[in-house]
Amino acid sequence: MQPRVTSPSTTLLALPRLGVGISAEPGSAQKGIDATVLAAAHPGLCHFVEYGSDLDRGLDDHIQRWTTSGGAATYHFLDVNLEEPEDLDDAWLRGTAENARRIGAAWLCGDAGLWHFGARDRGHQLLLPPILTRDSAYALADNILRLEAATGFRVLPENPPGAFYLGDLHILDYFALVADRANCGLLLDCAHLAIFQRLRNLPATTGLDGYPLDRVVELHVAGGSEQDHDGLAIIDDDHTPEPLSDTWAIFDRVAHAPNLRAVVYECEHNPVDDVLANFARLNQAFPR
Amino acid sequence: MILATQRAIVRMLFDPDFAAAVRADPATTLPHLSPALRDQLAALDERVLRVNRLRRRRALRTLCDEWKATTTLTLAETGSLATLDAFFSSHHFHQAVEDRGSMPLGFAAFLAERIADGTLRTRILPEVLTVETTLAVVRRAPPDPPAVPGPLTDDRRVQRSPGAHPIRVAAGATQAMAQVDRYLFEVGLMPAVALCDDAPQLHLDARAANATPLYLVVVRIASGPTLVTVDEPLYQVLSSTSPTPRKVSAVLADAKQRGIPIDDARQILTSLVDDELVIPT
Repeated sequence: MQPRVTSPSTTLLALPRLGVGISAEPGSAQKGIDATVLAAAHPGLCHFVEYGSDLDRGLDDHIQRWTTSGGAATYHFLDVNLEEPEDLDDAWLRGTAENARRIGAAWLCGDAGLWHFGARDRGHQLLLPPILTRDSAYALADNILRLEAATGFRVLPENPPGAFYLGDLHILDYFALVADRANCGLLLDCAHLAIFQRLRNLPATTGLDGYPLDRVVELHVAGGSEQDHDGLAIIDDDHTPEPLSDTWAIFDRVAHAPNLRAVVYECEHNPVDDVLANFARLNQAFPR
Repeated sequence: MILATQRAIVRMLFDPDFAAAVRADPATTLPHLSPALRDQLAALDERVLRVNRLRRRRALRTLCDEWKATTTLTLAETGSLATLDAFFSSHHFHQAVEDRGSMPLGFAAFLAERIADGTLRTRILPEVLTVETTLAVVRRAPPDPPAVPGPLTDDRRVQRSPGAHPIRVAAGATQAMAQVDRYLFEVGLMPAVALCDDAPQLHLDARAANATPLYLVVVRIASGPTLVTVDEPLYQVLSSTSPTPRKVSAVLADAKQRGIPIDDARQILTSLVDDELVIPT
């Protein structure tokens, strides 16, 4: 499939270059990596925090300390189904915008999948990838436009992980359609793409030729583990320290995207010593 | 079509029987989906649906957190986890997913059905289910509408706060809940006792059989819903209000039918407004 090509808007080009950052979630710094400690102990490795949360859990002490001391941040939502117009209700839009403003987020981002079934309720949480069809891509794009208009933030949809993907499109073509219709930037998760390619028995970088690299604003890199489920080989997106070779291959291919602004190493649950070398490698590839 | 496909995936993930039905006859099981998507669903390797093998157990844990006493009494009666696990194959679960409803409230409906059809027979169980379900409903209640100040004249309209719900149960219900709490605390100290023949057992004492009516209001406070014991007149007046606006005169007339003199009912209604359990609109 050959998506129509449009140019990124000027507001997208005006987004700040953040450099290499670390992911965080509510409470993650208590048992894992505290970005303020990491940045102080190893200057120059971690330049911002991508804070992932939902309205129930809100902002934790870690992200507030980081941003109060002047640290840059982005806000990664974990609780909206971007294919589902009904899910972008007023309360969620207001609350999410408020949380993002409080941490001075440079933009909003998040997996464009099914974060919960039905309404937000206890036990409804999961993460499924979108259905890879043109209709779904258009619905997703329309909701991104709504989200951007309601919050005033640019929104970067992320390709989610999955144990299976339905629909007739390659996931990169799907997000190319989304970006074209919504005129939005993109967050490419290299580890998630590696999972997709493996499930479709494709080489790691298949599809990047037709993918609008000039819209890629943010990259994710994370470790994964190959697992066997009754003879079925699955990559578990477990955010262990070491990315798979496929993930690195994708990263190396897209790290020079012309409008790239941020790279997140999703590693907050690991010991600091286990992630320093990869932070250095990412900074070398994408200096601030 | 897209969301319908996502809902079908969720149902297949939670219910292997449904997944098998999709595989066996996709056109009949999922007539509302496009042939292309339902064929893809039918072709899914069964193993990918089982990658998260604790999916049902995790969901059940969340449900059991809210219906702690009901589920504990159910397990004590049946000795079978399958009794609760059957929820994910029930129409209550599938309907909650299809209707964008609440899985937890669907779980409550599932348990109520099991009580009604005689599958579950523990005497105090319906009363305990009522209390825990009301707590769950109030936990999910929308915010109060704005109150309109002014004297509470007969032609004014009032409505019950969505965060206030009166219930009448047997006094044994709260006793049973307290005894279940103590039991769960004890086994929670060392979960491996479940493997022992001499593990602590749940025995409800005579207090849990107390059938005396107990009047309660489930009230939403900052930390969540809580139970408040009230007297019968307050229960009756609050029950005379409704979640939608109703004229004060109608509320008072209803309360009178419930045996509360008009003047008393008016006084109680005023206090309920002062306590923000009833909202003048």
